[in-house]
Amino acid sequence: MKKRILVTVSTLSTVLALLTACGGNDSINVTPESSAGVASVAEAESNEEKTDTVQEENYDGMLVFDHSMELEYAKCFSVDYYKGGYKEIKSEDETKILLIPENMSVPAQVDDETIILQQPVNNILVSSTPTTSLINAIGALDAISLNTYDVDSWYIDEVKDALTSGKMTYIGSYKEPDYEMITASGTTFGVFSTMLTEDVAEQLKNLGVKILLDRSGEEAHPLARVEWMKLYGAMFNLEDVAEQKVNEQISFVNEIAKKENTGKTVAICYITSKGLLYTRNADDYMAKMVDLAGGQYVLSEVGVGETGTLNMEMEAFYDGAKDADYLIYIWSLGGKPETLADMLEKSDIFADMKAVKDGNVWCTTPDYFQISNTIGSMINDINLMLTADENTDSLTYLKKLK
Amino acid sequence: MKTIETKKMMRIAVVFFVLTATLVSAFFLNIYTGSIKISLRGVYNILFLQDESNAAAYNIIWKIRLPRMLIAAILGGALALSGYLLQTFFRNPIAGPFVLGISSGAKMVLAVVTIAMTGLLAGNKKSFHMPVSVTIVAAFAGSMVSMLVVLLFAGKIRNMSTLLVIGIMISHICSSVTDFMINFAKEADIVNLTHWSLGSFSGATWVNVKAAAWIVIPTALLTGLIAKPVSAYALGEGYAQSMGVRVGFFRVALIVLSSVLSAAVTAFAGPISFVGIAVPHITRMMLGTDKAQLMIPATFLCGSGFCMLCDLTARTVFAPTELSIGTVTGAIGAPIVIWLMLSRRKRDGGE
Repeated sequence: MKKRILVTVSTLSTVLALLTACGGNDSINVTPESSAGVASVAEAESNEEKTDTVQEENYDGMLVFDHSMELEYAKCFSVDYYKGGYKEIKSEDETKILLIPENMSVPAQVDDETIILQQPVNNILVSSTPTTSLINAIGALDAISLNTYDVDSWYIDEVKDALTSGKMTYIGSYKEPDYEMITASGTTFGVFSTMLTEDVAEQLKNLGVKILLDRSGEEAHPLARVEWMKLYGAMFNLEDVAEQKVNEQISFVNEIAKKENTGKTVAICYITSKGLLYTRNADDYMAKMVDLAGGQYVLSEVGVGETGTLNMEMEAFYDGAKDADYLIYIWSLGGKPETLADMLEKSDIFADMKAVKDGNVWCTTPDYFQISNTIGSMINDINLMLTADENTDSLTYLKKLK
Repeated sequence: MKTIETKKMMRIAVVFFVLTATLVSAFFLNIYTGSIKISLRGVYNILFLQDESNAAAYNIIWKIRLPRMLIAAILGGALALSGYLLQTFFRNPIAGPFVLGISSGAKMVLAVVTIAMTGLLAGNKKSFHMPVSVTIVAAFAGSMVSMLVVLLFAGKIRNMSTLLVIGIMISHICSSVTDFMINFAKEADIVNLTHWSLGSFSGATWVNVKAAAWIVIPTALLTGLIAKPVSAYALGEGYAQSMGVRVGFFRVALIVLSSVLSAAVTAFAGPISFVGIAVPHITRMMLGTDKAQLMIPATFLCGSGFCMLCDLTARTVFAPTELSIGTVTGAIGAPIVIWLMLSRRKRDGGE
C-alpha cells in the first residue's frame, strides 16, 4: 500500500514539475512585436517649439502636434494630427493608437501602452457589425480580412460578397474565435464591440493582437455613432470620404429640424421567444431618434439616464404605450413577424393599443442593427413614417405590418 | 480462485493500459489537429526541437493547442475525481459536483463581483474589464461558499438523501439570486458571466495551466493518500468506524477535497456538466470494482482522456465555430454510459 502511494505521489509530482517547466514557454516571444510607443505629450510640445521652421520631410520620427479632428457629436474618441502625417486616436477607455504614415518611422521614446499601426492599415480583424458597416461605407472593406459573423448573418451585400469570395474569412464567434486562424493570418490588430469577453481579450493579447473597442454604441447622440466613421477615415487615410458621408447623414436631421414637430407619440418594443417584452430606455439612441425625427418617444419617463433595452412587465408597457400613435416593432430581435397577425400572436395586449387599431405598426428591416453609417437616413425614415399617408407601407429601413 | 484473481489483475492491467494509451493518443491528436494544418514533422520540430522558424505554427502549438490540451486534461481529471468522491460520500450514483450547488454558488459570487465592480469602477473609467484572475478567484470562492453551507448541514444531518436535497436547494437559491441580479444588469456588463456559464477550455493560457495544476495535483495527491479510508467508507459508516476511520473528520475531508477539485474546474473553465457524474460510472464498469485505491487514479486518467477528446471534438467538428464543451460531453458521454450499463445487464444475465 505504502509503495503504491509512493508511486502515485512521485508520478503526480513529476507531472506537476513538467507542467511548471512547460509554463516557461509563456515568456517565449516568437511573434515580432510591432509595439513601440508614442512620444510623450511634453516631448511633443517641446518639439513643437523647435520645429516651426522644419520642413515637412523632417518630421520623420517626431511628434509635433498640428490640430485635432473636429467632432460634432462623438464624445468617446478623439483624433490628433501631428506634423508629417502622424495621427493619434484616443478612445475614452484610454486606448491610444499611433498611426505611422507609410515610409515613416516610429517616434523614439514611445509609450508601451500605445498601439502602433503602420499605414497602410490592412489585414485586420473586425468583430462588430456596425464597425464593419462604417468601414464599408468609406470603401475600406478590403482592409478587413477576418470577421466573427458567418455569411448567413450578414445583410450587407459587400460583406457577403467578401466572405463568399474568400477576401474575408469567418473565424468563429466573438465569444470563442478560432485562435489558430487568427495566428496563421498574421493579424496583429482587431476592432471589437464592447461585447468582447475578458478571456478572449487576454488570449488575443497573449497572441500579440492589439485591440480597439468600438464604443460607438455608448455614444449618447445617434449621429455620434455615424461620426465614428471619421475615426476609421483617419485610420485608412480616407478622412474626406468619411467627412462627406457623415455630413450627408447630419443633413437629414438638419432638414427635419426645420420642419414643425409632428407631436406624434411612438412606442418601441419586441417580445422574445420566452415571452419577455423589451422596450428602450428613455435616453437610448432609438428613443432619441424618434425625437430627432419630429416625434415623441412615449415612454420618456422610463429608464431616464439609461441607454439600451429594458425588460418591462407587460401591464406596465401597456399602460404607458397604449395611447401611442405609432408602434415600432424590432424585427430582428423579436421573432421576425411578417404580418400584423404574427405580431398580435405574441401578446393579447397589442390588439388594444391605439397604434394597432389605427394600422400604425411598423417593423424594422433585417439590416437595421447592422448598419451604423445611415442612422441619419433611418431618422428620416421615422419622420416619413410619422408623416406618411395610409398607402405608404414600405420605407428603406421600416416596413408596415399589415 | 487463483484464476479469478489473475483474471481480475489482468483486467485491471488492461484497463490502466487502455486509459494510458487513450491519454497519450488524445495528447498527440490534440497537438496535431486543428483548423490550421501543420505537418507531423513540423509538430515534432516545434514540440521537441523548439523550431521557431515558422512563428505562426510555433505560436499555434505552444500558445494555443498545448495549454488548452493540458488544462482539459488537468480539469477533466479533477472533475471526474470530484464526482467519484461525492458519489462515495452521498452513496448516490447521481451525486455530482454541480448537483450540489458548486457551479451555482460560483456563478452567484461571480455575478455579484462582476456587477459590483462594473458599477463601482466603470463610472470613471469606461475601459473597465474584469481581469480573468478576478473571475477565477470569484468563481472559486463561490464554489467554496456553497460547499461550506453543505458542510454545515453535513455536521448535523446524517441522512445522505436529505443532505443531497439540501445541496440541490442551495443550488436553486444561488441560481435565484443570480437571476435576480442579472435582471437589473446591462447586457454588456454581464457578457463575461454569460460566456463563462457555457463552460469552455478555449483561451487557456500557461498561467491558467500552472495555477490549475498547483490546485488540482496536490489535491489529487491528498485524495490518493486517503484511498484506503474511502474504500472502507464506501462499505458503510459502521464498517469504516470498525476499521478505525474517524468518520466525522473523514466526511469533512471528503467534501473539502471534492469541493476544491470541482471549484478549480468551475473557476478555470466554467460549469462542465456530465463528466463528474458519468466518468466514475464508466471507470467503475471498466474496472469491475469500486476499490478506491484503483478508482482514484483510474477515474482521474479516464476524466483527463475523456475531456481531451471531447474538447478536440468541440473545437474541430464545426470549425471555426466552436461548440460548448457541455454539448459534447453530454452527447458523447451519455450514450457510452447507456451502452456500458446495457452490456453489464446482458453479462449479468439481464435482458
